[in-house]
Amino acid sequence: MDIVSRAAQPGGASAKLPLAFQPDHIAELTRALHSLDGLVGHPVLMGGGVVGIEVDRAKLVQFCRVLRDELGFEMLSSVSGVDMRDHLETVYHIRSLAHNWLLQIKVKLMPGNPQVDSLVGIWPAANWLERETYDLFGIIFTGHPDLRRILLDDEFEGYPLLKSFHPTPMTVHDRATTQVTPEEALSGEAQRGVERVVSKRLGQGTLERLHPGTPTFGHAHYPEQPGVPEDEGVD
Amino acid sequence: MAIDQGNQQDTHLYIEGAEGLRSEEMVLNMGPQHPSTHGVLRLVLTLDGETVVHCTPVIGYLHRGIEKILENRPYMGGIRYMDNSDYLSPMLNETAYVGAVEQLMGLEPPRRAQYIRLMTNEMQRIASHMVAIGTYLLDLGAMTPILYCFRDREGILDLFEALGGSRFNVNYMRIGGVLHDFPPGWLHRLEQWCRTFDQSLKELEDLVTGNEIFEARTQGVGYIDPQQAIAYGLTGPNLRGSGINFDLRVDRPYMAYREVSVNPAVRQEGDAFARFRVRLDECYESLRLIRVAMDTLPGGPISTRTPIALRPPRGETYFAVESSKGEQGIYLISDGSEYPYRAKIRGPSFVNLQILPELLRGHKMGDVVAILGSIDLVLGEVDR
Amino acid sequence: MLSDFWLEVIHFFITLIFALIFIPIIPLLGVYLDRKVLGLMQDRLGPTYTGPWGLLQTVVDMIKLLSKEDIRASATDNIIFSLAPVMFLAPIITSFVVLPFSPYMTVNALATGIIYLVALSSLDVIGVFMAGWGSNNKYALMGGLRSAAQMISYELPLVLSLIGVIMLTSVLGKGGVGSIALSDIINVQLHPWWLWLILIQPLGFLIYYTCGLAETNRAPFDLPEAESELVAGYLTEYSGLRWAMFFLGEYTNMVIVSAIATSLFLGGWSGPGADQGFWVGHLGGLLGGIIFNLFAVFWFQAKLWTLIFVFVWIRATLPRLRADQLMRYAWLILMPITLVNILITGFVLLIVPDLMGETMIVAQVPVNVWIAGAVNWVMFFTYILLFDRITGVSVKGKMPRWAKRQATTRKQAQPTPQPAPQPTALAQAQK
Repeated sequence: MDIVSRAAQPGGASAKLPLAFQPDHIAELTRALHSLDGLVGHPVLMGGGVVGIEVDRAKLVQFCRVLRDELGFEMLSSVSGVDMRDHLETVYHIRSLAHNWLLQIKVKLMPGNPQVDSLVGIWPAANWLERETYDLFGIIFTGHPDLRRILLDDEFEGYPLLKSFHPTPMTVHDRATTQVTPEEALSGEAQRGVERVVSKRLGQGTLERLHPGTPTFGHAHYPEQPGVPEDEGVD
Repeated sequence: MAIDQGNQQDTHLYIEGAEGLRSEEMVLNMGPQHPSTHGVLRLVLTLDGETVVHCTPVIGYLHRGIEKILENRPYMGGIRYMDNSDYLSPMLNETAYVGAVEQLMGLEPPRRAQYIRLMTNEMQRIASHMVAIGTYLLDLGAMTPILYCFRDREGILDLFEALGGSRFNVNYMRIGGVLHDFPPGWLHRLEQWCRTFDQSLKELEDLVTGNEIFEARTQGVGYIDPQQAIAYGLTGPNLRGSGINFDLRVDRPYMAYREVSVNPAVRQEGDAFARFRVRLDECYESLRLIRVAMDTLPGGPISTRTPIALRPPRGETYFAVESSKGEQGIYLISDGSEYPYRAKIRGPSFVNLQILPELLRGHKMGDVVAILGSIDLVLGEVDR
Repeated sequence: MLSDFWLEVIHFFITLIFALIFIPIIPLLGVYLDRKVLGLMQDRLGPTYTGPWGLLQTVVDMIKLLSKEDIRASATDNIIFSLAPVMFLAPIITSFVVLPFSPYMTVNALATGIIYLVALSSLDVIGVFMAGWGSNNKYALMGGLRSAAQMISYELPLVLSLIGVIMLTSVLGKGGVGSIALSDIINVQLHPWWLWLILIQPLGFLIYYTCGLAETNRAPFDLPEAESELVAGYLTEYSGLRWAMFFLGEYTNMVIVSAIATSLFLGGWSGPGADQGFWVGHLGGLLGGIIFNLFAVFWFQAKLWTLIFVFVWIRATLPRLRADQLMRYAWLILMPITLVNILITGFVLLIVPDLMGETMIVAQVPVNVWIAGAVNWVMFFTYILLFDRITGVSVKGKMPRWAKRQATTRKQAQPTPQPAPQPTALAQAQK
């Protein structure tokens, strides 16, 4: 079989390393990148033979065009957004099948105005990947033909993967108390209180709109009661 | 159909029809509940007669926010969420996540663990392809092969149950290795299953190869140009069916694939039949790899113990495995705490689905099912 | 004893009761066979719960269907919607009049046997079309139209494939006059006892059976019934008893197709033990006749249900044809083949005696029939072996020429994204 002899441990002698991880092969890419315009800082070798660079936001499209046309990076693998608390970043992973390279491009976006140019014109794969990043982070990709939400509801408000978007905790103990009568427990009052809190914080808008399918616990059928009647059970 | 002023004029215009008639396009909604969409996928098709003019896939029905959840769970606790991503290949997804964390930490799992991972990954690949093949044939109208495929898959799932405690979402991979070693007799049962699977593959070949109706429905249908495939980021059998020989196990090998070499299955035709054939050939190859791994299984520990509240060093990494659908990648950023700072899942089906509108344009309605099945989508991976 | 008139009346009532008992039993057995055989072929058991071996499954299903609510969309065209199942089922039941279960057990042996049966199967189409129209559902209408088109297209090769057999009756039958009555065709196959017409016209049988599959909307032609296809079939809006009538009609139609195939190609009720002279000679008129008819009915039913088993077998094995492939197959492949079959068979049957000057009889069968049979077997095997060439599909996995052309034109039509040019700068730098 094509099995390396047991004496040679993987990660040992670089001569036995697959092409993708050999230092000379990676150095080739690093050299080619040095001469390109738009690079911020130096290429960094990350784990797994991935070369990471940072690119200036204004020069991104031109940089990527050079990558595709001259360096042979034909495939865009992934587009992610990252929330670095004070600014957002987009991270692209691009592959060259011909040369067996994997490149990571990081673009820092302006705080407060997360916009970057769309790469749809270079790699059509960017279409949905950028839509997903917009959907989850709110990053606007200028020049994208159809930038709208893809995974979430069209009317969803908020961008969930931002660090400032807090998910509602599963249980809210506001109104839970041990001093509850059996009638109260059975009437579903406690659940109704939670339901009201939950739907306000879920980012579904200021109007109380329940997505069809959410269990209502009878909440949606009852109009807002100005005064919940006091417990008249004990007479 | 709306008829213009033609019928007010001479009757011969009404009979000839070409000038006076205007045909409208029909919008047909397929899904999200539909037997052939392989999950909760909604396709809004615009038809001109029988021809598909435009198609808009609507996704998000299965979005569970896995990436956000992963940011709120310790690393070990997040492994089980990867099972939900591509629910037909949980072992492969777990390997991606666990491999990403290990790559971030620079941790090399013991060799035995790597080989066990290879074996379970290949078994999972076979299981996933059995579903793909069986449901594809069912969509085309052949009711029997799916039951044979699922019968073989039951063998694999029984083995997983014996190994990890659960058939589907096994939660078997750990950072640093795997959870359990094989129970006694497991390898023997695996060998037996390999033998029966050999027979089953022969049976499947007899049923499918040379079946003119099947070939008439899949050959020449859903052609993907190789340049187009690369530009749209396709990976896995969809790419290899169009002639591009790119397999992550060969080109960027990880874990035990650095020692065991893989012969990827590649076809040149680029149509639905080619993709189907690639999946079937991959089953043969996976069977061979399982046997190789069984023969050369090293001894030793199966895991390097890592703390439950693991704190990897600050850093980021991107790690990709060759899943049954394509390139399953995890982009992981760690800020030194016990929760990941960002865990992005690059799901192959999400990227593969993008090409569907291009593929369907110009085809007849009867081909929609054939093309959709040939891309092999799993909505859990599309929506996460 | 009794006068002929009363004998006729008794005959009528006996056959009527037989037919009326048999017709409800058909879906009972047919559905059960369908599900059980399908299950066993798919490595599972099929119905086992209701009754021993699940035999009462259809009874239970019928009870369930009878008790269902009659859901009706408000905008349906009531008369057409209600009449469609009747229009579908009535011609099928009426076809039972001429089926020769045995020489006695034929309700009325019409002289126009085959034409009568074919005409009634054409009436089915009206029922299907009415079902699609009356549902007031554009998808059901499209499904109904498609199904009607399929049924009409496959009727032509169906009838044409039977003409070969009818031509043989004029050569083999008494007096040199052909006949289209089913009982006469069966009689032709009795002398000699092994002369089943399938041996002389195998291609005709194959094509007739294929067209029968399409007429009854069975796999691989079951596009209207497929739940994974986009367009719902004409049965969408039907529920409960109305749907059960369509369901019954489909299985009864299968029986009629199989019965015609049995009568014309497989020798009808003939078989070991169904020898009238033998039984009447040994046991006297009435008892001998009864035993003879029992044997005859048994053999007819055996062949009939074997053919239905093959229907189910094909359903378990083959995937579905696409709508345009279906139509192409009927018009471009089956029609020419049946026409060629008629031409060649007729040519051989007429030319050989002229060439040889007289009609030689070899083993009780005229020579021209031998030669026609041999030619037909050659055509049969040619058809099977060249099937892939005919349908444009290659078993070796190569894309057929017409598909290649389609693929290239589509490639040219679609604006491919700018292809990444080969990285020349870097490659040259490496060198």
